[in-house]
Amino acid sequence: MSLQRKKIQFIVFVLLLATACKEDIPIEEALPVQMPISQDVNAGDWQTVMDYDYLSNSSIPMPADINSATYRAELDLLVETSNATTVEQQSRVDFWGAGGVMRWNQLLRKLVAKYNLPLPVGSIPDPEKPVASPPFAARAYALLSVGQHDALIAAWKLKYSVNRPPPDMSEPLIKRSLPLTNLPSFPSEQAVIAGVSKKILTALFPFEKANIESIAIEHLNTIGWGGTGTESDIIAGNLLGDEVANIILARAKTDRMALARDPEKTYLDYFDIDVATVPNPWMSISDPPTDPLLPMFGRVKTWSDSTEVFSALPPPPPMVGSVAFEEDIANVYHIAKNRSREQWRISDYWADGAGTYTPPGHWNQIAEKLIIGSKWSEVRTARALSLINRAMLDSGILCWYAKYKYYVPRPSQINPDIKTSTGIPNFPSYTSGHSSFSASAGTILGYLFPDQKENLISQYVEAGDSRVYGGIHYMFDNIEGRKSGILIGELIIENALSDGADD
Amino acid sequence: MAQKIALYPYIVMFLFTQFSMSQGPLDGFLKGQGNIVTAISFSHESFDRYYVGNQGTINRNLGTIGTNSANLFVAGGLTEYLDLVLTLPYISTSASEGFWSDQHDFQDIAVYLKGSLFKLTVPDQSQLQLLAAVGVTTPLTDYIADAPVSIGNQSTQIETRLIGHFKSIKGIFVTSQFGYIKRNNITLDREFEISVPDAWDYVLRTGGSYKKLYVDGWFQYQNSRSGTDIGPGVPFPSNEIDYTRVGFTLYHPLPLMNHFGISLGAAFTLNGKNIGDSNRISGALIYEFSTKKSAPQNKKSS
Repeated sequence: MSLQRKKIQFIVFVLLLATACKEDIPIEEALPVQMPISQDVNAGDWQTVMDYDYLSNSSIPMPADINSATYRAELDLLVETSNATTVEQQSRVDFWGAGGVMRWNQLLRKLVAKYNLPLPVGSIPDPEKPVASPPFAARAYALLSVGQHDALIAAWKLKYSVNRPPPDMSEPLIKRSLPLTNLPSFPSEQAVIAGVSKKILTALFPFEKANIESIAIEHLNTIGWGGTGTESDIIAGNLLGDEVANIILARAKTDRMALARDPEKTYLDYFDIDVATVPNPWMSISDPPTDPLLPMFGRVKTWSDSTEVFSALPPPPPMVGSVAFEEDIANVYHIAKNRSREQWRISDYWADGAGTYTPPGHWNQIAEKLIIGSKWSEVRTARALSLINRAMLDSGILCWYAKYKYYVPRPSQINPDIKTSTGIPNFPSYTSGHSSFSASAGTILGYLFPDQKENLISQYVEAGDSRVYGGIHYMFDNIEGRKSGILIGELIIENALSDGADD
Repeated sequence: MAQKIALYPYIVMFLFTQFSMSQGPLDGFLKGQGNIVTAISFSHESFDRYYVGNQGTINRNLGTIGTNSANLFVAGGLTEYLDLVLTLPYISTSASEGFWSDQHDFQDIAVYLKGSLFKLTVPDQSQLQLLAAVGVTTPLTDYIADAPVSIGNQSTQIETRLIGHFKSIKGIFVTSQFGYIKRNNITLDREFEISVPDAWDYVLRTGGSYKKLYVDGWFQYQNSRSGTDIGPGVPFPSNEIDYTRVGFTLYHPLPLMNHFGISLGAAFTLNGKNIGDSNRISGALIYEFSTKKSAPQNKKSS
């Protein structure tokens, strides 16, 4: 055998080895264990979103004294549990140690992505398995965030009125495996988060009940494994979370979301749309034509005062055929014909279409990166998410109202030569949902993280522009959506300035 | 001279799109040191039916997906035992319905080394040869990987193949090759990393190689080891792509033009998973020459 053949055999062998290597992509996002700079001692006095006194109406039993035999027994149990923690359990303690509020927000994003799939044409939605479209998702993120926010404010108030010290201060044999804080331990804030989040997510995604419950149980278990709370801390926290969720869900029942799908097409009457006489009304350009998405979502109850929200309603758009309209659609056509790779990348990056977190979820992800770096308490994290998600829901509602009030066709309906780099949403064009959601969330985040403001503005501008680059929106959809998003953001900030958190 | 042409048959049909990959540019023949084959091929492929998982589907919002490609192919013998093969396709694809943008660009450059491991000559002068090949395929341009209409998956891949080649004294041959294609992860425009499934590939080819004619028929089975089904929001490059295809190739030297030949081929999809149910025709112009001063001898290694 010649030397050459030996060489060939050697090369083949090396390459076979190389091809055997596997590239793993982690399923769970690794986040650092949080060590808050401040515990926000006064957060119990912050204003809740719901005008409701959760603690006066609560059935939480008052805790046993730390010198009582009852509490002594709890401490002894925790000594045992916390010293028997396995390596696997410790990894779950660290997972949740990154922040319960953020972890449940991530879980909701995953559920939204899982359920954000269009229904097969002609099928009737199963209430157990909702379609997590952007409007549905915006409402879901807001419900979870408001629930977490209000529940943690109530928890903080109770913590600092009971003032039970962390268990390992009373019993040094307890093995705390998370950083020590001086946050009073009754009720456990992690149990509060688990209780409120589990209940709200189960109501939103009934089919996921068992899955969500097992995640909540794990979350609660990590409190004992990590030695950060006793049984009564956990029971009280879980119960408080559950009670707050009930109040939030009662509001959700009556917020008119149930009417948004509108299969009887009452929206045509409501918005006075006569398809026969309106010149150039929106039409479904998918094959077969499909009913538009949630036409009555614009009537869903806003978190801010609805009169103030609707004062930001965009003006009527240029009429199809007008000079302004022709100039705008010529611009969309020009972009579609000459779309650069960078414009394509931008339209893909912000598309957040089927099977993703949706645009509101994308902005929760952007918020997450900023929040993780800022070492906030759980309650301050919840406030940030409550602000951006209420802003996105309110601006989304306003945007949807405009879409059906003005009923503007997509660019490709008017000019079928406009080819797109992203799917054409099956609902009217004006204003852009992406611009509305993004500008409202970005405006709020600019208030929360002033040193990031310029960067956030360029991100929400890019998110809105991405839809014009994609060929599915006019620039006037984008500009007006952005304007109203900024106005809604500013409206929410105005109220946030007096909620007590900045004092 | 005619004798010489019969020594260098090769396969020149390629199509590398989102939905279809070729049956591979490698055959069982070695070129011999200094002998070089170049080809420009053109092919057209289309489908209106595709498989979502194993389920055949027609999407009226895409209509017929049509793909045209031009491919440069170069194969040359570095030594008597080792060939270098290079392919470079330019691809253009579009959907007849709906509003997705057309795509066209240079796709992936592929470079292979193919060498002989051993050869056995049986008493009647028939030959049995075992060859191995390794190849690297990598995108040349930043084309779109994650869209219903696209030209490739942007994954850099390494493949290894074992090729068994039997050639009888009467020109009949059978080539059986088995390969493993390792595909690297890619990062989408959406800025997350996804896995592109690896695949096993098997090709059986048989035919005749004569003075004025080369003809073959082939069968190919490719199976991804894992992956997703086509679905809303599922990144296309992560799809598990399996298929069974058959096809044929004809080659004839051009009269009055030394060194030139033309080929014609067709391919048909029998079934698949997450791939277009496509058929393809292709044609090629081939030019072959030797860097050696004199015409090569009638080599036994061919």
